[in-house]
Amino acid sequence: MNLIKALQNRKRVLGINERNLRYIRPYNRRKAKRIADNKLLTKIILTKNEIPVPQLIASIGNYAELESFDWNMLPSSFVIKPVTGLEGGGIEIFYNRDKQGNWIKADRTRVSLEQIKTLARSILDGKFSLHNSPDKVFFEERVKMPKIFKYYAYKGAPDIRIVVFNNIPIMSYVRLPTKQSNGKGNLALGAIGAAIDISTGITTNAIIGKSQPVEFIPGTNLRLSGLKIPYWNRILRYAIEAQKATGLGFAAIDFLMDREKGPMIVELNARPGLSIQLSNKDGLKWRLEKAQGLRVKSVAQGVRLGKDLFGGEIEEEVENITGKQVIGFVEWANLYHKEENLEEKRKKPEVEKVKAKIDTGAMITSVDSNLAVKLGYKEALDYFNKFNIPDNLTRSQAKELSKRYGATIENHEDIVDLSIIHSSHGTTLRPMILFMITISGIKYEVKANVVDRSRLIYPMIIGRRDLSQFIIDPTKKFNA
Amino acid sequence: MNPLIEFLIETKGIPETSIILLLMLPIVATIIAVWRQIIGLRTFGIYAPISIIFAFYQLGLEDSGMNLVRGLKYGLGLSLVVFFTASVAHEATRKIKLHYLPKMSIVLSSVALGVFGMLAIAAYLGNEGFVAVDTLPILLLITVSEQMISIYIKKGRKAAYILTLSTLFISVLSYLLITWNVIHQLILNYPYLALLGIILNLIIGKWTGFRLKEYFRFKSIMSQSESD
Repeated sequence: MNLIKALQNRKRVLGINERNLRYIRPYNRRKAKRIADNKLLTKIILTKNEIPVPQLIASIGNYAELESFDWNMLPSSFVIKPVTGLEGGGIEIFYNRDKQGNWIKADRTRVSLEQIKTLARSILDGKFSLHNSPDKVFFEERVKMPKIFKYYAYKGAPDIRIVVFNNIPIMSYVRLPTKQSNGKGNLALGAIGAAIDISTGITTNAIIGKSQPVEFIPGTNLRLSGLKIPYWNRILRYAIEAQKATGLGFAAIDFLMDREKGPMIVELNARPGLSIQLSNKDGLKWRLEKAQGLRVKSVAQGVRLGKDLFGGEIEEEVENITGKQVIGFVEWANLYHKEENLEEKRKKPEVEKVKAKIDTGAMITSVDSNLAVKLGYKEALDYFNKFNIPDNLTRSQAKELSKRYGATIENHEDIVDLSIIHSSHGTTLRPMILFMITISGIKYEVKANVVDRSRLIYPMIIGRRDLSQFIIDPTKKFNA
Repeated sequence: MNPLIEFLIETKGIPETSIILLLMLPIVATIIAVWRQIIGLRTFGIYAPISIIFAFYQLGLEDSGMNLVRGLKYGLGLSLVVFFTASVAHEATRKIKLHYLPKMSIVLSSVALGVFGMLAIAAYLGNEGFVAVDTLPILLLITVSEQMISIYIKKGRKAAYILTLSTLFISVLSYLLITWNVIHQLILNYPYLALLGIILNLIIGKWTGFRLKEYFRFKSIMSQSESD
């Protein structure tokens, strides 16, 4: 370690003593802290300000209410939390309910009503609250994670954190639960913390555990940098709005992302942790000093200031110059196996490596049905085939069939759409499935139609719609 | 000796050990504050280490005066039994998921029985020194075990053990300091030194510099080359 450099850089980093004395005490008044420390109060105040939060299902304030609580009103999927819990203690997420009435957790363990009641009682007793003071229980909807995160988060949802100061977002990271952390988003337990560039919403550096730098999701070749967080501007906006609504001057705002509803605030922290600095490889101190005293008149201005002051200009420039990845007209594509199977063999995701034709003449990506079967979609294809849709259709027939069967077929969890394909052989109606693929080191999801390609050279063609991140060099084959 | 102290001890008959204990408390408390705020290591609050230190001190007291080794021996022995039985009792009842207070009651009962067993064994072996041990230090140590188990429940075994070790370490260190004769003479001669603790704490209380531990924690950021 270069001592002089360390002494100079020391000024960039925020330590606990300084955080407490110079930032939390003066900027987070008791009233504001009370809101952040009480998750029900947080929910009420954010909802009043039209900031999305996971929907409250019910709450239990004491033993009497616990006795008279109608457990049948709980949906099959929900989250139970202590109102003033610390560091995620006492939180349980239930995904489903079995026929015996037990609820099922992410790791497939079953929990009986009696066990949930015991948990509720220990929450009421204050097992998870500060100083063991009596607490309340609440139930909220389970946030359904968007598919893009599926391969990044192990048995849990990624938790996006924005640190805001003076109505300006100053630093951000996303915590990804890992196998080591047992699905928990706690870095001390071995979760991953990946820094997010404020200006673009794209992940950059990451650490695993308390400080270990990491480049890939453990046991996979999934790169941790370069993941684009959806709805980034909305997240930044909500973070500032939440700060305004609660009066917290210096806060860490935690978001979960819902597949349909987008970002939702799950927690406000009046005592932001400092390890976010390690993920970001940068200190909070100079950012706090820079943001201090600026007059931020509107939310939009706060977002702009955050992006301009703390966004990674360098990375952006590099991206603009080198631009997109160059690939040839035929590339190796790794297709990932359907997630259920992946979940069990997490260590090494099952992939099928195939030659894919990069086909700018096609709009939509197409995958061979045999390949799809290998990837675990046999059941989906069988389901589709049950409808006995003929191969050679006219345009109007195809439209008519699509209208008639569309909704029923798309009910299947794997089939996201039907597509009508016109080709020289006539018109066909094909099921569309989402595949996770890697091409030339870039991993992304493609929506592809599935059809028998066994008589064709390539089991997969990639269409224009899934090529936006590449530049194609027609003289090249097999980039990597 | 300071005339005021001399008057209190010689004329009024206040035991010297009481005076030393009271005047040492500000110094011990300051050490714990430094341990947390400047070094960056945690303990079970400030009450627990003080309890342990004075439990050790009490255990070391003999009619003939202070016996450093005795305090250390019995203190560490008792702590070991207390913390060990507490964690065993906690582990044993973990699976059956009890309410917090009944559970803690079982843990503390086990600890009490453990200490009782230790006394019985000592009596059987004819260890008169230990049999004559005062109950107050035993009680102090048992109280601390509640805090250990509370951390155990909330943050897990590793955190609990680390905190226990850190607390024991700083307690032994402070114990060695307050049993040191030089310090005794110093505090009896200059009792106003106790006030120094308050002044030091005012400074520590406004300290915004890094904790020693943070230099290691943030080493990677501090040592990278990057300019503003």
